[in-house]
Amino acid sequence: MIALLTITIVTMLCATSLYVASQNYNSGMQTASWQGALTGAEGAVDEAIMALNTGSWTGWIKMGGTPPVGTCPDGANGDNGGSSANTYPDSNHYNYIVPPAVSLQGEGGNSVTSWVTVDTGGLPLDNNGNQWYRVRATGLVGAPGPPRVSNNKLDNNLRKIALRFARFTGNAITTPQASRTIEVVAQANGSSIWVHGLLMKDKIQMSGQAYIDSFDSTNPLKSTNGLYDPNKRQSHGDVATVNSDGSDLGNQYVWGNLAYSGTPAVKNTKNVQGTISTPFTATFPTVSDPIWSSGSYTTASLNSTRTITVTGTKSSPTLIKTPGDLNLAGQNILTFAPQDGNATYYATVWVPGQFQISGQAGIVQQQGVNLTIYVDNQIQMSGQSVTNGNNVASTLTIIGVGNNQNVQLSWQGNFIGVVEAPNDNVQISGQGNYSGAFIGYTMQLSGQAAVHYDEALNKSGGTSSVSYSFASWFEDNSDFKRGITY
Amino acid sequence: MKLFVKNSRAATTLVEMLMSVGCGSLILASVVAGSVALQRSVTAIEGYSTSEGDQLRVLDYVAMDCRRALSASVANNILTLTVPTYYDSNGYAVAPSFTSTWGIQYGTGSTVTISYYQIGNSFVRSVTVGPTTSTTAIATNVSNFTVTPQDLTSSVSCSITFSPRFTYLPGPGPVAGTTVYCNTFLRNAAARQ
Repeated sequence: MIALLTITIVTMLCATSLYVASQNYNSGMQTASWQGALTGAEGAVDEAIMALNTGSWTGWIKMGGTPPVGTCPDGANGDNGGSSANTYPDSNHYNYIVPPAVSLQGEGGNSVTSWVTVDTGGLPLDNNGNQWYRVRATGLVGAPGPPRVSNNKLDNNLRKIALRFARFTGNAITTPQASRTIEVVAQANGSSIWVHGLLMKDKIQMSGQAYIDSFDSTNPLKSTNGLYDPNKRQSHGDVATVNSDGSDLGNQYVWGNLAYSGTPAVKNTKNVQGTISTPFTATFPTVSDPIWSSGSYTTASLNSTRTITVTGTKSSPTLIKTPGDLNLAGQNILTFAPQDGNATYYATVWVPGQFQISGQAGIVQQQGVNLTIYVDNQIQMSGQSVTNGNNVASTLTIIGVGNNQNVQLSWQGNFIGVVEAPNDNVQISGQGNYSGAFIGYTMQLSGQAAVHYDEALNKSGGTSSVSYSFASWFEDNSDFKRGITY
Repeated sequence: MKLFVKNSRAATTLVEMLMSVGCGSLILASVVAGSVALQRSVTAIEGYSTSEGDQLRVLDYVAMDCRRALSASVANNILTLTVPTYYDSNGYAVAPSFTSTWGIQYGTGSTVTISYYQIGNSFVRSVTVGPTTSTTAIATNVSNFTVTPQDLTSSVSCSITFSPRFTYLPGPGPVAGTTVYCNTFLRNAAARQ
């Protein structure tokens, strides 16, 4: 009897020990599965960021409406409608993908599955006209062991484990599973080409009393009414070249940094106020003639006084091609005027020959007009040249498409714009102020010319590509029915 | 009627009794000793498992909140994090929107404050949503909590020491406690937007 009683007690002890150990093992497995689910969710986010950056939506499905929360859009049977996605989602659709499962080893489940949706999240376009996207990703890992809650209530509050029914759909499940959902807002980053005041492929030469500094047309602390103010001068007028052979800054003032590659080093850099660094690399924009279909543009001579009413939009600008040279001389004024004051209008002019402005002639770009001028041959601007009514450099772009052509700017007044001529030799002289930025093959800055780099160009303007990065990251670990949010 | 009379007079002798009592005692003693050892082992395992659970829970809570925090601050050894108000009054996620400086906010841009600190032997997580504060002890047997005010615009480092739950020796043992370290990158920090 005593032996029987003893055996009974010992058996109960063993059983209790096994039960406790089993519970702890179960809790450990669920913890490992819960941690593995985050890895799956983050991997799915990476998949979405890659699609946004490359523009390749192979394998993605396009669905209407807004994405469901916590449930896979794929449906229980693996196909819930939709069509193959081939572009970025718009405000009425979203894209989703279910990446292949990834096998795991160690504690927790032996594989992680996930799904991710990409939509606009109701976000409007940003100030650069780019769309940001909301990415929601869920990672799912099976939790081995019996469907049993953890022996610690605090674990159950933190780690939401579905034991018999899926947390959001309520559908029955065969094995317990841990899921984690994260929401990321992907920010569109425009990659502006205008990060330097002067960016050249070859030598930079400064002489006379020429100098370069910077300002920010969008910051009233760094400009006045959006215009350069010498009392608010900034020191970001950076100068850079990828081949310094022959470069000589003539000890002129550079209120910024100098970066270069090549030998010999840039000469006479005593008055560079920032850092001097080497080596330096840069990606230069590729320029070429625009491609316009027949009937989409107007052929017009612009060599005399006239007013062009601009009605085009950013995606569909007013297109004008000159039959040959654009040569404004004497007192001829070419005016570009917006059709009304309700919006900004865009015009593109293609000059297959030379672009010359001399004497008292000039171009007046009225406020509300964004102007782009393509020039195949040399560019010579003097006299009144171009008046930019917007007072913003990004609204006037002169693109030199030629090879080894001269771009000569020399006047007394203010030039507000950017010159993109990576294969041309740029010569700036006179007494004028040049607010904007320049990209060329070589640069000669002389006389009393002053270049004022507009730092706002680094955020917009110019030919740019868009890449995406994280602007916001949040893990949704709520269970509102149990009163748990944060 | 002839009654059955048991003629056998088999019995245990005194020596046999003493032997059996001795053996039985040995067996019982070993059973008792085994039971005590088993119970002690279970207690130790239970203590280890509970401690490990506490440590993992603390690390997971701190890491989760740090990752989604907009900002972090340290004062008087209290780690205070602010996270976006992601849910509406019905518990549904709200849509993101832009701030005036082109950052991302949820709802009206209000925030929720989550604090971590030590009270006695407990490690506490306090959540303040509007006027309401709820405080939960997420771990016990905590002997020390230290949060390092490093670069709070990018990462948070902290360490938590747990006292052992099971001690076999009558005095201090070779293990004074278990310290876990947490270094989490603030992915959602507003300072980096």
